[in-house]
Amino acid sequence: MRNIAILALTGWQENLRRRFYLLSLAFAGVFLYLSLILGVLAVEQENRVLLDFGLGFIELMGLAGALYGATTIVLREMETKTVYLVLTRPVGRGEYILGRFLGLMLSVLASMALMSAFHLCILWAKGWRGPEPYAAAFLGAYLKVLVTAALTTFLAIFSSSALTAGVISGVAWTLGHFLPEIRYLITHGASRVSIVPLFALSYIVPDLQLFNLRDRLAATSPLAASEAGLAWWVGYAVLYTAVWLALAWGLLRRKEF
Amino acid sequence: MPSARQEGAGERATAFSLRTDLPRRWLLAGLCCCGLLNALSLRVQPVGWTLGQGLAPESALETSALVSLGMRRLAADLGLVRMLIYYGGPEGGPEEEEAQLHSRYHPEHPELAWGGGRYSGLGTRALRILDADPSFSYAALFAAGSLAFNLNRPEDALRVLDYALSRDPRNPQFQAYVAAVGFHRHGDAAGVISRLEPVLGTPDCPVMIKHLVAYLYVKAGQRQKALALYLQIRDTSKDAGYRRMAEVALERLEGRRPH
Repeated sequence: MRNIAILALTGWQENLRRRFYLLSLAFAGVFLYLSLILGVLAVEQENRVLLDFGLGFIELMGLAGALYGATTIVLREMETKTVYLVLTRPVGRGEYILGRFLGLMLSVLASMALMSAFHLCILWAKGWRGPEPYAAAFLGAYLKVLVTAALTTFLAIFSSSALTAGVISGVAWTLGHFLPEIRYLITHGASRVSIVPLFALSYIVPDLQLFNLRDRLAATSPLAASEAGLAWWVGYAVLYTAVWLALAWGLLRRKEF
Repeated sequence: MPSARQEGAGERATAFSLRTDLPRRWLLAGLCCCGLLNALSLRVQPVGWTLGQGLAPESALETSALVSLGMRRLAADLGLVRMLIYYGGPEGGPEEEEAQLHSRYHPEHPELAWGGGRYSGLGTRALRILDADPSFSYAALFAAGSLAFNLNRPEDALRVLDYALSRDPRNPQFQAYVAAVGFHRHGDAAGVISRLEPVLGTPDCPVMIKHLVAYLYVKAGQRQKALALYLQIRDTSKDAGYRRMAEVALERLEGRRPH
């Protein structure tokens, strides 16, 4: 446990020193400022547009940071042989994977939290005191990024290619959001031939739409009734993440350095 | 000394052995876990709403991209912006707008400059917005209010409200609007007021509806209520056009401006 904590903290510090995160924060600031223009176009619904645009953008920037980190951290340490320095000490490979992953997710959380603070400042200045549970929407976005980052970590070690892992993860991200539509196609209208791959996909791809809590912010939303609560969302995310990290560990433990 | 070619082959072999090193039973167990989790998530969150309307040609790519990125609410927001631009502009392009401004616009009666035209796409645009976000009541209320009270097309307004109610049946504002449109069809201003009054304080109530009710208050001789509502519009609305109209109406009601 101590090893995992040390690896996570050092990983976090390394990530925070990288220019990518600084760039993403600066870019987020500029983009959130631009969202004010879009808000003006919506006249009476300015706050809603600012809220949606900001949350969506924070999520995308968090995803970009997580994908970049997940595809490069382990591979880069293998290439630069830094991994020898860690694994020649009494550190298990499972601890190494978990520590590096937690470090990455801490960095992403810090980055997203900083962007959210800036976003909330803009909303507050615009008079937003809304009923929408901002924290729940933020948590949903973070859980989505967490699940996708775990999948990407596995893919990066599996394919040994950052680009391949990034592209497949991007596809999984979009499919994960289309899961309700894929399920609808399975039950209505799709031909038998096309059902088989769709059916398989619908059970493998992470159900990211489940975490889209901001879609269900309105109290009168008809989808709000089907929510099973915070415990289920967090449980799903943790278990799904654990599955792909375990598979990544399975790959790494057999690799000879 | 191995050649570059041999080294490349070695690397490929390493990569290949890495892939096959993962025991199949591990992979199978992992995929089974994912399947189980997704089966449970299907029970928690059943299949959502289907798209009742086709995507609009001008925004199909944008909407698809936003939905695939998980930003359905933002897709609905952009749909609203497009609808506001559509309804705020002339139907026949800039020439018609200029002609309208010269022939019909009057600074003291700006309401005469709108309310005309067909805006045949207004209802469909609202339905598309509801497809993306069924809980976006403002879009439905704005479109229904415009269709019923500005464009005098209550049937189309009721169609929008029916669609909205089918997706969000618990929303009391939709039911109030249906009743108000019904009274409006029979020329019963008092009925319209009584149905719309309870929804005036809700955050999603379009300022257009507030302005309409204030106008009906004046017609019904309820001066104090009209004053209060016009003051509210002037002080709180984000729409500069409606703020200006409320200011003019207040001046008239207070006798500072001739009728």
